[in-house]
Amino acid sequence: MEQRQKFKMIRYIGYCFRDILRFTPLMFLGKLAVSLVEGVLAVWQPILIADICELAADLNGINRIDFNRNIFFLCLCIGLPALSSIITRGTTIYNDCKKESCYGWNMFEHAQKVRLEALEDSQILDTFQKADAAYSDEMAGSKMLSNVFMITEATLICISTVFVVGRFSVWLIPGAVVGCIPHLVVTLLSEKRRATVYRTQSGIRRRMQYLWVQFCKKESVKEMRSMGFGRYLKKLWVEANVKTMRDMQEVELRALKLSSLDAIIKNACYAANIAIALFLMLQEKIAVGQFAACLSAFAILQSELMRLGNKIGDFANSYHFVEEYYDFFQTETETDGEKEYQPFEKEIQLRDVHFRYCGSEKDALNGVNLNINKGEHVVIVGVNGSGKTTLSKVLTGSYRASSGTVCYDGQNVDDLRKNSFYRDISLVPQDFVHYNFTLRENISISDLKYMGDEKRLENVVDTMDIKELVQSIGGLDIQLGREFGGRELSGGEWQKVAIARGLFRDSKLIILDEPTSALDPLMEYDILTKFLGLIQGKTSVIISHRVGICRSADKIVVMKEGRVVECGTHEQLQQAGGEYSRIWQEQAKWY
Amino acid sequence: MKVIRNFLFSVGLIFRYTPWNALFYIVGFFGAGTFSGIQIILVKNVVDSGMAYVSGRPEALESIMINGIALVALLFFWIVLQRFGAYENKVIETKMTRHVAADVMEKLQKLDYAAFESKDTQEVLQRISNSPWFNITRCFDRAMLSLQTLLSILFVLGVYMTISVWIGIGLFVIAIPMITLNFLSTKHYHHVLWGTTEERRRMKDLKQLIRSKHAMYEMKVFGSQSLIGDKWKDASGRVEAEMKKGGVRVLILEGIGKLLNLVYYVFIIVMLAYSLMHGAVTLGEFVAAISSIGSLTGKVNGSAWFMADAIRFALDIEFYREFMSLPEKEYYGSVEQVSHKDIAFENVSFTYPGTDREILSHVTFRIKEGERVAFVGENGAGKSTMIKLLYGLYAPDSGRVLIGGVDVRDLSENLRRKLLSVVFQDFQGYELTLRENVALGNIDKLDQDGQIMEALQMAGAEVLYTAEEKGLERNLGHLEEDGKDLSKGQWQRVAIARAFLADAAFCVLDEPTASLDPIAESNMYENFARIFHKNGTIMISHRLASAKMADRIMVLDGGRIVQHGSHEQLMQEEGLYRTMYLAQSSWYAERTMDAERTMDAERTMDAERTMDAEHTVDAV
Repeated sequence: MEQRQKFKMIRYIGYCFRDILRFTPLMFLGKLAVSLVEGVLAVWQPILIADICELAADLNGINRIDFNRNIFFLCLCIGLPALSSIITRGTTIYNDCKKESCYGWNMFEHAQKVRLEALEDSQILDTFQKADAAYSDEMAGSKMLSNVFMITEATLICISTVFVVGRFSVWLIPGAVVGCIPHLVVTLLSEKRRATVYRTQSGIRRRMQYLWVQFCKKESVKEMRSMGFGRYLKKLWVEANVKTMRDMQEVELRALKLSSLDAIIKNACYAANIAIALFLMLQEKIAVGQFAACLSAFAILQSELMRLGNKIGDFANSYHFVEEYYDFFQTETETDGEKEYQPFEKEIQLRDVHFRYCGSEKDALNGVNLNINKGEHVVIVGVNGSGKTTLSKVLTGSYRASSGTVCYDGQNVDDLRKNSFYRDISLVPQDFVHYNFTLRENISISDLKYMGDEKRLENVVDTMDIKELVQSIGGLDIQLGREFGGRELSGGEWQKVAIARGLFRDSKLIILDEPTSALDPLMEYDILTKFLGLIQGKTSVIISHRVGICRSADKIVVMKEGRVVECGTHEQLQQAGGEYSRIWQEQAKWY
Repeated sequence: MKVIRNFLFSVGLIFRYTPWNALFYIVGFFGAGTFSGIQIILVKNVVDSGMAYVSGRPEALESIMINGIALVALLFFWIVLQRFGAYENKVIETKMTRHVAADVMEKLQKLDYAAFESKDTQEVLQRISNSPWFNITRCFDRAMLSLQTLLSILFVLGVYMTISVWIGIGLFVIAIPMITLNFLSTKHYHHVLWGTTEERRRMKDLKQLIRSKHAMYEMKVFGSQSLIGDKWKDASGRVEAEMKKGGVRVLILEGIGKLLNLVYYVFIIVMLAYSLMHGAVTLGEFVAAISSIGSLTGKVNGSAWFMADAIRFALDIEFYREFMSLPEKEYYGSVEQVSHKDIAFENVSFTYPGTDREILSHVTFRIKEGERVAFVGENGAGKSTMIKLLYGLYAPDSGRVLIGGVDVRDLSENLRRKLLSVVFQDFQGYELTLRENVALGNIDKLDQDGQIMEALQMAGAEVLYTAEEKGLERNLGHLEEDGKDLSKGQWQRVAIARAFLADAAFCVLDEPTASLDPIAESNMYENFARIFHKNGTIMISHRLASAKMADRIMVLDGGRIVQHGSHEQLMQEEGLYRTMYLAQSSWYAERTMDAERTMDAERTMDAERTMDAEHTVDAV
């Protein structure tokens, strides 16, 4: 597991570098240049100081030319890092500009390939959310890159500073090196512990956030106040909070103790080094200038070590987001078939179709056999959870059956190229989308090639009776959605738009899934009958839990627990006295 | 002004809750701020004494020792203080979380219920639902950091002054515009990073689509990826262009600032070198000053960054203040006992705050203890609003809502719970254990396994605890790894079990909006009537069939009670009830010309009804 984690880390860092080089090579170069320049200059500085001091201390008068040259170098040495921050900021802004069009677009492209079934899984939806936050709020890649560079830079500076000091005298090396080690160990230990605690706490944190939201949501507040359980939820939250905080504080306290210990060792080494340098100077083993340079070098060493420690912590943090971003790309993608679809002329055939949702223990479809002839109007009825909607999604090949076949005139949908296959299908899904686009786009999104076809649009607007709506909005090309300065449509209006959308698409097969939103039962009936009138000449599948609509269907399919239990016309099924007539009775007995 | 006020507010809060930690933090911080200045002096002394010693004055050795030890001690404390500061910061954060959370929670519980439904407060509540305490501690922290770095810069400048007055003066001349420019560029930069504009909102909206399974379904079948993709490219392109424009400005400001920075450094170095050459500064001063310049860059950048951050957080605190000043409920019930348990509405009128439409107008009725009553009416007739009034969530504009002769708002929470239990229209399933989910109806019975199981049995949901190994302790929802979500119908049973456990004098069943299939829904009403046959029940429905089992039916229309009586009585009257009933039952009658006609009539009526309902929803 540990090993796996490590490999994953290396792989993800690889992805990250690949994407940076692909999307923003300039940023990479910029950051690299800055790191190089800063690294070299930081090492150069003590050497220059030593030289300058040497010259200044020379009692035979100062060599002006050398002195001036060295001062010029010193100006460069100190001045350039100041300028390099312009490049740093420039690269960050550049990266930020690019993030939506590169990292965002990357996500968009991958999201299209993700299997539809996967989106049923709340954990996968969670990875979507996290990946989005990782690149757009946290700028994961760019931050990680900076940290990697800075860690490398700080390490190199530390090493070369030790080297520079060592050049003055070998005796200075041990103190410098020994001072570094405990610091690194302490930082790594503390970071690791922090990360572990944080990871173990993630469940509890989610729970706390969940509980907290309950206090701010009107639906739960209403119940909380009427049933009086606010105190209980509060207790749960407070307990969880106390525990996480206590754990966190413990970790921090330990980190504090460790780093104090580290500070003692480090400073003891530092003191020893100064003493040694002093001693060497008094013994005239090193020059005064070199002694001064040593002081400067030690200061650099100290601050670089601090930086190294901080950056290791930052790196762990930024890697966490890199992980979240690339985790998203691990979600399973669908495979497209290769065959071109030939429009079906005879029938759709489902043979022993099974389907199971990820993480579920029960088959949602449990051996469905069904024939739909061309031109038929089929109504699928059944109680909640009997598998009606799932069946419709398997029928359109959006969900891949776990076993069994779905064939259109003998063509298995799994083998078909989805683009060519969908050409013939239109739908009005249960949870249709409210696009915050214009009304025109909202309707013609189902068939983009007719977007400019006024005639066609007018036709659909007329048949759906939404002329008034169009007028009240101010035309087809007015933006919808309050957030974008447009109007918000009501539930009933959206429903009509959704049906208009489904009808607008040029199709031979249309599927209507009854809306789940709280439409009045009678309004629902009205919409359904209207819909029936509009689809003459097409094959249609209507999913409904109201049996009232069934009388006008050519074929009624009754679903129960993932199976087709009955199939036939209203009269046939009424006489058969099975599930259908039971549902009918149940619904009718109230009147 | 707002920034300063909010900053002071956060400081005030922090000192109120963690005065000692805050004090330590500040003292430690400002103490450390002076260190870089002192360091320069000490380094100078060490080097100078060293020089003196080398040039043959042995008494300088003492000075070397003292200064050297002081230098090491200083660095030691510096590091420890920094670590300690970071620790204190965590402690402050912890304590603030606890206290601010307690404050917010208390406020949330006192908040007038209207605030939860009002559109104006949604944004504030949204922010509050997302860890509001961090902004307060962060604002404080960033402000302290920026002050500390500023102080440290000033201190270093002061030390430079002692080395050479010219350097000091030159510094002041350059430092002020330099810091201002740095600050400005950082501020713009923040704006570029976090500003919200139409383009970004658009981007966010599009991102929403690829996370929605419904949108992906449509996108795949309709082949509309290209449209969404174009919009994505367009939006991201515009976001990019906009950021570039802002970015260029930031870079220009930054460039000028950094150029000044450069000029300033060169000025110091040249001055120092010149002075060194002429013996105006000692070698020690030279070394000390030069080696401190580099860290100054970091400080100048840091102070600007922290300051901009502090300002951002300070502005962010505004929502917290806004939240704390939301109106609180005015009534705190104290009545612990009532003589009888009749519910009475006396001439009650009600309009939602901020809207014009009167939802209830002069409603008067009385429900006797143990009576079984159904309210029927179209969507938007005011049924659900009535329940909210009955619970005292809203106060009527005029008239009184009484239980046992006492205004419901005067009843203690405890007593009200004994009198009323409810299954709301939008009942909630909580991601807790099954036991907790049921016991929320009466939290005192959390340990009464027998009663909880009985409640579940009554609601027809015993399978929930018998089928799972963990029984009542099983986790519901996705929050825990072993948790499983329930179907809508199962959740509804849990909600009914909750109401059963409460065992109140009256139980209210508001019509569920979630789509249950008609069978499940009818069963639910039947079940409900059976379970609560000993208690009084109030059922709300627009499916008239289920109203038949009530002793008395009240028909609401346009905020008034237009008819009341038993099913048989109402069917004999010519009125709204009869019309509605016939319309709904015709669905299942054999289709005749007559039925068709009624259906048409209904259809128009229905369309209006939905319109009305939508208006109400909009208004609320």
